[in-house]
Amino acid sequence: MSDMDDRDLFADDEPIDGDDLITSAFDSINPSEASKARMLDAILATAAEEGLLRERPAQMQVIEGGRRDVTRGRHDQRSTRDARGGYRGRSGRRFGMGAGIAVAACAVVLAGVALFAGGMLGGGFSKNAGTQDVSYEAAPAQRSEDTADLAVYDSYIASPDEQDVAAGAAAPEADSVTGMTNASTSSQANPPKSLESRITLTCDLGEYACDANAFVFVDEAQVGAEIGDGIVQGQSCKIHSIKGVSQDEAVCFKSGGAYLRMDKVG
Amino acid sequence: MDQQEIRAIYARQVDTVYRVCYTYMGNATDTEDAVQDVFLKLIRSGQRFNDQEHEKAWLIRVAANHCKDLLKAASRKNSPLDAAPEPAAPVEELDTTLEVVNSLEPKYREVIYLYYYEGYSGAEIARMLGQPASTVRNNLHDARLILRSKLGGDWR
Repeated sequence: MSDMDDRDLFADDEPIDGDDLITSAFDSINPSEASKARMLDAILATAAEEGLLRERPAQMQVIEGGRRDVTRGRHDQRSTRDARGGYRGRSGRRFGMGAGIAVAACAVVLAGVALFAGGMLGGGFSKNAGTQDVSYEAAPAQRSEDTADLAVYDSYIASPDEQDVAAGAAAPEADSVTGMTNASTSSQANPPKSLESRITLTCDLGEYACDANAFVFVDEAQVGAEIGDGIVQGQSCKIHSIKGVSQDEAVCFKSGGAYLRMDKVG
Repeated sequence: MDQQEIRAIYARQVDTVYRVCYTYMGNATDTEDAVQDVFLKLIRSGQRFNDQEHEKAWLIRVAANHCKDLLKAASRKNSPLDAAPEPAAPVEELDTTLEVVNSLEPKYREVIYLYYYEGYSGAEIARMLGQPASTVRNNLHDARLILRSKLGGDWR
C-alpha cells in the first residue's frame, strides 16, 4: 500500500461499527463555557504580560469631544469628521457629506470670484493661473527631508490627547505662476502607528487658502477634512486608512485655494 | 496577533484542542493547562494560516506534541503515590467508551481520536504527528484490537 490517503486503508480489518461509539464518546469531552472563558482569560493575560498582543490599528471614529488645537496647543470644540464621512459642527450637529460638498463648491466659487476680483484690481492676471486654481491637478510626488520640520498631524487618531503635535509651519514658497504656495511635506516625525496603509494628505495652501470653516476634499465622495481640523496650512496631515481611497485614486483637488495630495506612506 | 484574532481562533478551535489534549492528559485540570499552553505557543509563534483547516491541523500537531512533552516530563519526575497531592478537581464521570479509550496508551488514543473523530486520513495523521504512515497504520490496527476486546459486543 503506497499511501494512506483514504479511510479504506483499514477496510481489511473488521467493519468500523465502533465509529459512532467513538464519536459520541469524544463528543462528551467538552470544556464548559466557564472553563473556556477561564482559559481564554488566562491566555490573554499571559500574552499581555509577555507583550505579545499587538494593538489593532486605530480606526477612524467619531470624536465627540474637543480636539487639540494644533496651532495653539489647546482644546476647543472644533467641528470634526465622524465615522459616516460627515462632520460635526461646533454645536455638535452633524453635517453630512452632501453639506461638505456644497460648502466646498461654494468655496471654489468664492475663491474663483476672489481670484478674479483680485486679478482685476491688480491689473489683470494670467489666464493660465486662473485656470489652474480651479482645476484638479496631480501634484508630483514629493517627500523632502528638508521639510521634515513641519508638523505632522494625525488627524483621525482615536484620542486627540495622544496627539503630540509640534506646531510651526514653514514659510511657504510662492508659486510664480499661480500665486499659490507649495509647502508640500510628508514628514515622518510621527512614525505610523499601525501596519495598515496610511495616507498622507499634503496640504498646499496658498494665499487663497480656505478659511477656517471651509472643507477641503481629497476625493469628494470619500473624505473631507477641515482647515484647522487636521488640515493645517502649510503642514502635512495624516489620515488613517481611508476606506475606499487608495494611492491610485489620490487625485488632487483644489477647493477654495487648498490643494491636497495623498501619499501612501506605510 | 491581536486580541481579536486570538479570540476568533480560540472560538473556532478550542474544542478540538481541548479534546486532543484530553486524549493525552486524561483529566480536565491538566487538559486546561495544556490548552492554554498550546494557544500561547500559537501567539508566540506568530504563525499565519492559509485557511481554517491549516489552522486546525497546526494546532492539533502542536497540542499533541506539547502533551507528549508534558507526559514525558511528568514520567521523569514520578513520585511515590502517597506523596501525590489531592486531585484539584472532582474526577469527571466518563462515558464508558471514553473510559476505555482513555485506558489506551497515548499513541493509540491519538490515532483513534484523529481517525475516528476528526476524520483525518492515515496519511494526514502521519504528517500531523510527524510519524511514518506505517506506524500510524499499526497503531490504529492495534488500538482497534484492544477496543474490540475491551468493549466486546459494543464494538464489532
